[in-house]
Amino acid sequence: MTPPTSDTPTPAVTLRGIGKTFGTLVALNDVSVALAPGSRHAIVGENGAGKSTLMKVLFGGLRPDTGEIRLDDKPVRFSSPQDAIRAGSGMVHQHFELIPPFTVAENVVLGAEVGEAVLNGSEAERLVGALAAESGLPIDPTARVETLSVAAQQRTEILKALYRKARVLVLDEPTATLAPSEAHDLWAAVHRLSGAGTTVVFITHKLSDVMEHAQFVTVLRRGERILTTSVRETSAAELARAMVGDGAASPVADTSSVVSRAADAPGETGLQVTALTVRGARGETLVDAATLTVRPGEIVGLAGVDGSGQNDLIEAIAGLRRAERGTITLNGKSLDALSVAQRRMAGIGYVPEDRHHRAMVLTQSLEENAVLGRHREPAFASGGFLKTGALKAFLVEKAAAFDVRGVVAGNAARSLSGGNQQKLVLARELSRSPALLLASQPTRGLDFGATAFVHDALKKERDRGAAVLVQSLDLAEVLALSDRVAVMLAGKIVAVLDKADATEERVGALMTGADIR
Amino acid sequence: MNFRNLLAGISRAAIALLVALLLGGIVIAVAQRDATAPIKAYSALLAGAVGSPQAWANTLSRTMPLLLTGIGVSVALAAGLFNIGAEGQLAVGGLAAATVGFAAKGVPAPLVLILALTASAVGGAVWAFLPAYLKEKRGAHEVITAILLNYVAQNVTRYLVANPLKDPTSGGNQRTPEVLATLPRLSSQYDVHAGLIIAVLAVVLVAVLLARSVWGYETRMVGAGSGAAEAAGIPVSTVRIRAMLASGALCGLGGAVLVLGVVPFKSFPADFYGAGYGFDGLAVALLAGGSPFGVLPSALLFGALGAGAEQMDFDAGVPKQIVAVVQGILIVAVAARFVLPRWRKK
Repeated sequence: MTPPTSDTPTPAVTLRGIGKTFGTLVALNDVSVALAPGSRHAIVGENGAGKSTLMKVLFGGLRPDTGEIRLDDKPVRFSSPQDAIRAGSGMVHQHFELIPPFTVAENVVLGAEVGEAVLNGSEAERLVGALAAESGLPIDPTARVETLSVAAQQRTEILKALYRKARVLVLDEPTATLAPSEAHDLWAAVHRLSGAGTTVVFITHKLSDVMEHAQFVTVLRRGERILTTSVRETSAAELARAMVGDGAASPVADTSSVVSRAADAPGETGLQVTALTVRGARGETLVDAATLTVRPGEIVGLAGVDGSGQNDLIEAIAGLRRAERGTITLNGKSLDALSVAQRRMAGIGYVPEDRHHRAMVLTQSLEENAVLGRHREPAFASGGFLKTGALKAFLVEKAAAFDVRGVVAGNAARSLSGGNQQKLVLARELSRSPALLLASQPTRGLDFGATAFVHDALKKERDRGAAVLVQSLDLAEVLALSDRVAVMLAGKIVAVLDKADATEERVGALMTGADIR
Repeated sequence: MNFRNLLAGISRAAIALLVALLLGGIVIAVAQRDATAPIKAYSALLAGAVGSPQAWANTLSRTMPLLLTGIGVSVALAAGLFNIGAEGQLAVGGLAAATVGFAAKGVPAPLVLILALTASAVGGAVWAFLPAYLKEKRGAHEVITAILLNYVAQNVTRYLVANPLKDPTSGGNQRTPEVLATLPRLSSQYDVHAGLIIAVLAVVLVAVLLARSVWGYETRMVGAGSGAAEAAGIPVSTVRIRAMLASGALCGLGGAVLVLGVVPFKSFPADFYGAGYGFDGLAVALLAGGSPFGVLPSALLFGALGAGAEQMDFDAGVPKQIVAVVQGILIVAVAARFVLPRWRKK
């Protein structure tokens, strides 16, 4: 397992035997990587593989439990990012750390105003302009950051690192939010920087980026280094296999016989999303012309690496995000002009990703949470007043049916454990027999028993004839639940696979863009 | 809210009061250069607040508007909003009530009162609508806009009373003409009137509505978890605006009970703004810890402190502003608990 640095006697960076645990979770286990000076090195792996933890260790954000870091073969100890910057390592985070109302120049020199008490605006602008030209990162130093595109903000972040004389540049998911042409320009700059001697490490999910732009690649899986190799000596398929593990090349076991149910309900077309585009607050594209059908009686799973637009698509269907373009219909009825409440009336049940902020009001009572969204129905309210007795009876009934433990009427929702909270949310959302059930990360943070319960409930809904759309970052979960799998990458639905074709290997490749090549 | 939480809330307020009185006592001792001054001052305060039927009447008169502004601010708090505009809404509501009250000539007395009370609620609601609307539609923080609107309310009411609405006979002591009908007195001896009953009923009604009605439910859900409320289809902006309107209407009513009684005014004076009942309403709501029923004892306490302060000034020679210091410490003690572990006990 010697890193491929034999031709370069002194690596710019050596990580040796790095281990890091959080409680019982082993985030990194004995990871060793060496980075040759001026090389481009990709770190790939699934969510939770330890990529970000490793980079935080390198950048001084986390102190490793074991192992050592050497820069230019000298051992270093970082107790803060400032130490790491001083030693010459710079990190560009996925979420930029810029001050929006400040100019590019001000952001770049902030905290590194060399020997001057007062920020010298024009001098800073001149220096930053020169640095930008020299490093091939075109930018207007006088522009305010909030007026810039995502790509230009990223260039500002990189300039920030270079201004601090970074010799090792760490880029976290650098192309995640860039348009293809912007990504192209970024890579051109990265190639130029590495040519000039800067060592560039980038974390990515996209194997196409690795194959085209890295010289070396390290694959992490569950905190362990699986492989480090020269890109010339590997293939996207091999990397995808290393990322998700072997023995995953078989279709998931048959879960049920209901795929034909769609035909049993003539006239019921289920959910039809057509060319849906959703933009975020800063104008970035979250969902890009997505087209998807979920028929009654089937579970469609959305697979994708984190932030590929899965949750945004679900929120747009639920009515929580406005679609810029495209249409959504449910059983032939257009949802486009409907409010969240109207969409629920039209038959949408929704299990949100963020249980504490989207699904429950933790400080309010369990019975009040149990009817949230149904509280205006005659069963629960009359004459403008809630029927307290009916609320409690409903809570007790649902708690029994969904095996929600620890329920005491009157207690706040936060008195339940996460798994029981999720069961209650599920009970509530299924109680109206939705025509379409949306579930976003429905088992995140749940233990084995609760997970199985949730899976079971989703399958029962499907068998009842509901159209079910599930998104999860856990690929195994998506594959186990889904009759069809839609794969998202950078906001686009890049493939919709039948269960038989949806192998972990194939979906893994599609998720990371390895298949596109 | 169950019994244990209620108990916790009361003990929390009691501890805050004790701390405030203790620190206030130190301030008095230092200011008067007399170690026994706090005892003299506080006994005078107690006598002035509850020591005689007249003291009780004074206390209840001051409690009356505080109940309305206190519950008004509480409604906004339940929706997650801080209605710092209570003082302005109180002034606008008071002027609206006074204007209708003196202008409704030839109208039977009970109808004059009903119209005047309605006008005050509408006036207060209009004044509260502005910050609510600007927050929901334009993203302007309600605290900033409401503070600025307080200044506007102060100057607009003063201008109106000094000019078009001025009673020509009032001379330098500018005020509106006296209202044509006043709220009935509850006692022939003491100056306590039916405004107190209106105020208590308003608190009880709002408390019940907040706890049991669909309106109250949606208000609380939005206040405590707007994301979940939104996902459940509750129109969050509308609910917030409605809560602010209710808050403003209640504060406006607080203005009406001040001008429609024998005490203190019977008409709207130019310097009405700054009576402090609006700002004290914020304190009352904070001390109540967000509990609508808690407004009842909380307003009574502030009413008693206010009435006792006059007596303290008179008997013990301790400036009544010292009581403002005690109230200030009380708020800091409560607010610190309120802001940090918000709702943790619930």
